Amino acid sequence: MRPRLDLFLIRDSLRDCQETTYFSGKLHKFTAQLLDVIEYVLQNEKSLSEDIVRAFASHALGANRYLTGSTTKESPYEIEYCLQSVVPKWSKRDCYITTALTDGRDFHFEPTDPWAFVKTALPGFDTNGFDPLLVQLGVPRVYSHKPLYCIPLYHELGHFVDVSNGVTNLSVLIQAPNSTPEYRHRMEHFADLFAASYIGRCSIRALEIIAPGNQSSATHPATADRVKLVDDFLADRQTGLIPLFQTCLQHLKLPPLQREFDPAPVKTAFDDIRTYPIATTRELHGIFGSAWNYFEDSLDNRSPPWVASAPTDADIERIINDLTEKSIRNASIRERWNSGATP
Amino acid sequence: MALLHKDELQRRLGVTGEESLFIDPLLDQSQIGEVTVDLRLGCDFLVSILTRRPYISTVKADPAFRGIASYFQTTRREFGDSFVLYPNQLALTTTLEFVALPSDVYADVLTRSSYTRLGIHLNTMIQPGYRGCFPIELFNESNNPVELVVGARIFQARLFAGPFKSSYHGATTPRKYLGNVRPTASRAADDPDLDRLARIKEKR
Repeated sequence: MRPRLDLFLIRDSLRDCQETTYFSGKLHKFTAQLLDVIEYVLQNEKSLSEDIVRAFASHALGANRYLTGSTTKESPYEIEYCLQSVVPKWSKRDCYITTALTDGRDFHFEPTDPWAFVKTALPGFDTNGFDPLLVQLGVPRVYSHKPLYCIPLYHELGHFVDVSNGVTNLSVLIQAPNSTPEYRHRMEHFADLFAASYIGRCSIRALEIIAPGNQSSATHPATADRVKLVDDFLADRQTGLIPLFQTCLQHLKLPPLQREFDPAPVKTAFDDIRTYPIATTRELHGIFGSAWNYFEDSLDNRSPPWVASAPTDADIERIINDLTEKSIRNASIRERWNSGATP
Repeated sequence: MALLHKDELQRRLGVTGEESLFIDPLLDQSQIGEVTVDLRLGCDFLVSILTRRPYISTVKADPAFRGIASYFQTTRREFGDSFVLYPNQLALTTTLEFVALPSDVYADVLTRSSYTRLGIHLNTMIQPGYRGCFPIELFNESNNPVELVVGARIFQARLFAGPFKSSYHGATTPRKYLGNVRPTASRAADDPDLDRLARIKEKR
């Protein structure tokens, strides 16, 4: 389609979005600002090159997909809440987690920065300093209420932190990779380590289950190599790429990769089919590893209360995912309740 | 059968084991009243919608049968957001609180009088030993739409202790609503008696 016509369609879609009940005033403002830029581009199209209009339409289309996804009332709100608590440490700019539900099995991160593009390519438009980043994440629809199956989103957030801060790019200047695949592998290793720093070994356990014997490819390292590096990191062994990444983070004045979680002792609560009252932000991330271990143990060993012919494996999966989701939701409710105590 | 009073409710909130009462989140201690526990409106809703079907069938063998969930639309509100319940509208939801009842206690859940006076009626019985967010069937019997705020204290539970010990989640028969954290459409069609009754009808 012609870029101008695309912009008309995106504008209409964003206007529809604005008419739904948004959970987040911040996303509402983001959408309003984006609509202002679209109007500006449509009104000044003759003075802009077609390439600029096309590139902007591409940014707007991507943002539209994730803004729409985050207002479908199907988003994985609980894990979005967990991820949102991570980003302030890794970005000086405001960052809003957005998700689009996909019909496949893939999780993904879609990089975009429309405001950087606007500043560079549309200098006539005044953003008034408005420049938040959208963290655009893709989530399989079937997992939207399955927080334990959404663990790969921490890995995808690692890609966001890498891309938005240029960690792997800096590593290339310090220690040049031998090939393009090696560069791509570094990106995957960084995202793996980032995820492990927040949720521990369950981040890589999911990979062991999904792709146990995968060999190295043009885009991804071999599963065995990824597992080894994460295990080394969690054992505080400074091997492989770990020192290089830590050096890059130091140069970028970012925090080092380190354990950012405490295990959440869920066993007593989950054995009694109760939620676990999460007490700290470190436990908020730690519950993923603890609940994952509990889940695997329940399936494999069928210890009480999971011994009878009922419940089935499907019941166990549903109940443990639900207990995890509700434990996270209750933590978010308590935080919001406390925030309402003062004007 | 004894209605639990405040001292006993608070005692059970503080103990572990079969007598333990668990409510998460209990945002305000004042939710524990003299003989009731105030409960809050949850975030998820299943709203009854009109469809092309003439009626909801509960008999799976009926050619007109469609999954009961297809007569409802899922929606969600954040904590503090509003949900508008229209006259004669049915909406399924849950309490905000996840509750684990003691094995010797069952609960009657009602709307608080402030909401009953708006035409929102409810009367649900929860089994001893239940685990999950209490299922709620909202219905507006007034002439006006009513705004309900997620997180508001709309319900109250009366808890009764009896000389019995129920093993709700240890039962050999699977419990349909064990550990529920969001509303579930009716599973009336899953009642095994309906198959038997259908066979009786065929043999007439």
